[in-house]
Amino acid sequence: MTSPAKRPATYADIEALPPGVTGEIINGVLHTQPRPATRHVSAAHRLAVTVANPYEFGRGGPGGWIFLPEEELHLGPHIVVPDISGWRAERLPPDYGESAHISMPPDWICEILSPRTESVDKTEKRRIYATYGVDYLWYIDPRSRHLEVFVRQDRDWLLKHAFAEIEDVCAPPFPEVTFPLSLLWPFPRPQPEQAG
Amino acid sequence: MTSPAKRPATYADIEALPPHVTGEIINGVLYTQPRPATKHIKAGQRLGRHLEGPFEIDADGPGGWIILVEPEIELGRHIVVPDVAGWHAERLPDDYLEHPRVTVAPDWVCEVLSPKTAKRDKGAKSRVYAAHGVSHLWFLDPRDKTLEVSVRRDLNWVLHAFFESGDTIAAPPFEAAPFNMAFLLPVKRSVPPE
Repeated sequence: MTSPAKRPATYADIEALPPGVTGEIINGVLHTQPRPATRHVSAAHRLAVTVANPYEFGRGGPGGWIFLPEEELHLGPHIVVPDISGWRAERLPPDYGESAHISMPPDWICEILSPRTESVDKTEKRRIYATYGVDYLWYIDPRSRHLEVFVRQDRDWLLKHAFAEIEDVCAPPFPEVTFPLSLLWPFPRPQPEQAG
Repeated sequence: MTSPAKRPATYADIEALPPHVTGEIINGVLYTQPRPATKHIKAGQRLGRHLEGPFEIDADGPGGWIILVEPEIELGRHIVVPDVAGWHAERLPDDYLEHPRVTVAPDWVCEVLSPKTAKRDKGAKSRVYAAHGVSHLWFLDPRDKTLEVSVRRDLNWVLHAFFESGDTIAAPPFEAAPFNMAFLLPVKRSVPPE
């Protein structure tokens, strides 16, 4: 999954990846992942639509935000591809649609956790997000059906809310929308695991 | 799972529970759960035993702590049963073993997550711990084999470190006794030494 650490990874390494493989460069190391699982793709899409309707399109909400799923961000030397990034619209230049990637750190990032990516998400990537001033970080785990909301203070992420299963979610930075977490898991539960 | 919210739950509600049911009272609400799964219990036992050696018992270990597995703790009006908890030894009364439950907030708590309890562990219970001055809070997920370590800042939990299978886990406040996930979550029955 990571390149041999003989030399720092460069953008050429990302360009050399086959299609369907996402590359990130985190602290000089190339991290790759294949297309995510369906439940991951579904949760990301459903959350993006849920916040974009009120906060980007102004339907039942104030608008004023721009959301991009799987946008390539260049934060200093790092290249990261969060599942969903959101910016207060005034922070992006009007021609942001012309570029292949975005260097302005988002105000909010949502990561959909999977076993393969959870460790990097919760260690190096979250430190990078804090370093570059991302203010809000949501983690969604489609297997345990949880949402955790973190708010940045200085360089630290403070756990502010934990939602589970089918609860109603109302959390920063989107206080004007309340939605049932069940929207993100439209599938029946898989076979129950050993209880506990 | 919860008592009808007509009146705040009291310790009498916990005493009325059948013996194999664990009860907690958080913000006046009674929460019950059956005994946790085998893997969950094993992880708590292993962690407690691992820390008890160097931090409580061994003459040549750093010492200074008291470690309890599944203690019942009274924190103000809350009654909580963390999976594993630790106290700086001087903070517990000498006769703490004679008391039915501990009434001093721990310095460190580890919760072993399960699908039914994870939300409460990371939500209301973590807020109770923060309000009562717990300094370090670990979340061990036996299914994902991960450990999240949080440190308290005022009334908030700050994500401090994250470990997964294969990592050497040296996590505050017990950095002096590292371990790995395979020790807490053995995959197979242990083979006793010859």
